[in-house]
Amino acid sequence: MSSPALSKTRIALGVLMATATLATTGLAGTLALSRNHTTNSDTAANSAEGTTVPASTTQRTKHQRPKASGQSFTPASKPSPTTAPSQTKTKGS
Amino acid sequence: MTTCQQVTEPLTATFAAIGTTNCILVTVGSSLPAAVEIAKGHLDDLDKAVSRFRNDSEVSQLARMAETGEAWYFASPLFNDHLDAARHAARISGGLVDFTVGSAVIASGYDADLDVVRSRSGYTLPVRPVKGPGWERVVRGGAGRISTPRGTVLDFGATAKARAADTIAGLLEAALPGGFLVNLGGDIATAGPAPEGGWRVGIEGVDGGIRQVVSITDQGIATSSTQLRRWQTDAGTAHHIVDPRTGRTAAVVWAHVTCVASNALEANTASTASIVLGEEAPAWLNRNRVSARLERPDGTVVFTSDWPLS
Repeated sequence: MSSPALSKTRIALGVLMATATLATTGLAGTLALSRNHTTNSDTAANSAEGTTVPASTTQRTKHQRPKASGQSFTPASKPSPTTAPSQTKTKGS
Repeated sequence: MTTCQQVTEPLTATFAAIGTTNCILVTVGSSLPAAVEIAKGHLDDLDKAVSRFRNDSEVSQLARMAETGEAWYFASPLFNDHLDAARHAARISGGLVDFTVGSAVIASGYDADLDVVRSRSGYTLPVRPVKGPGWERVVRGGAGRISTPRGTVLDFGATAKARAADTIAGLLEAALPGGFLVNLGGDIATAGPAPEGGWRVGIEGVDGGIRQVVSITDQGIATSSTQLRRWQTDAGTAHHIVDPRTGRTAAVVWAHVTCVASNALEANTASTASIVLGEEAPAWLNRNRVSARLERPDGTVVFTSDWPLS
């Protein structure tokens, strides 16, 4: 039969080990998520939208890129002046 | 054998689709016929997915399902592509371009083709404005499943043409030789090598004349207007751009706003948001570094963020 002091020590040791196990599991999970995010950003971005699209292994044009990642306007070069006649026109709708 | 002869001036084909006039410009003449067929095919599919005026479109089906409660719907990849584009527009505009304003647009009188709407006299506006639920309440699930709150009518009017122009330009660049400009009713996307001196785009003014010509190479350009899609109501003239914050037609501060951005979708997002913002638009455009030309109904013009003055 254990003494009360020994029981308290065992309980404290058990709590410590359980905490350490949880911390290790949590760290491993975090690392796994982090690895996923950094190696497959397309999948991660689209998972946030609730869908899964594999990261492309081919080069994509700007028109084919996923659109959901940006929070602001994509930087663009400015239009240039010209004195030549127009080839097409924009008038709105 | 196909020849890939570069032309000195781009060749153009014009055709009607999705209720507007569309143009394809190419720098390699032999690409033009196939380019037009690709564009027409994509626009046919687009109409079936997102048109508010077709009973059999996915937008209409979803609106009917939402009449009695929250709607769940498995949408086509094209529909979801346009939903993603509209969400991007809503996000970067801070909600000023909101695709859940469909019920507000209908309440303002725009519930049919524009010819039908204009043929009515003195449409009576509802006493209380009808506001949409807000774009963040449309949930995108897995496997193409989306949900909308009860009473939601989606309206991709602010983004569909622009996103389609970007998509078609990308398809043409991938499939055919040369450079391409795709102009869907004034929403313009480019892809591939531009002609010497760039693509020259005329900016139409209030009177229909070309006010200025600018050159772009790999950007998109779009114009939003309060002057073209207009009709009469008992409260005066209405137009098709609704302020999602109020559920009412946006105040007419600007006649036309033309913006240049990295693609047509972002250009149209900026021009539509500018109509909604009114007098606050130039400062907002400058903060977002969007080059724009804003014309008031009296013809006076404001420029932002290095728009060329000559």
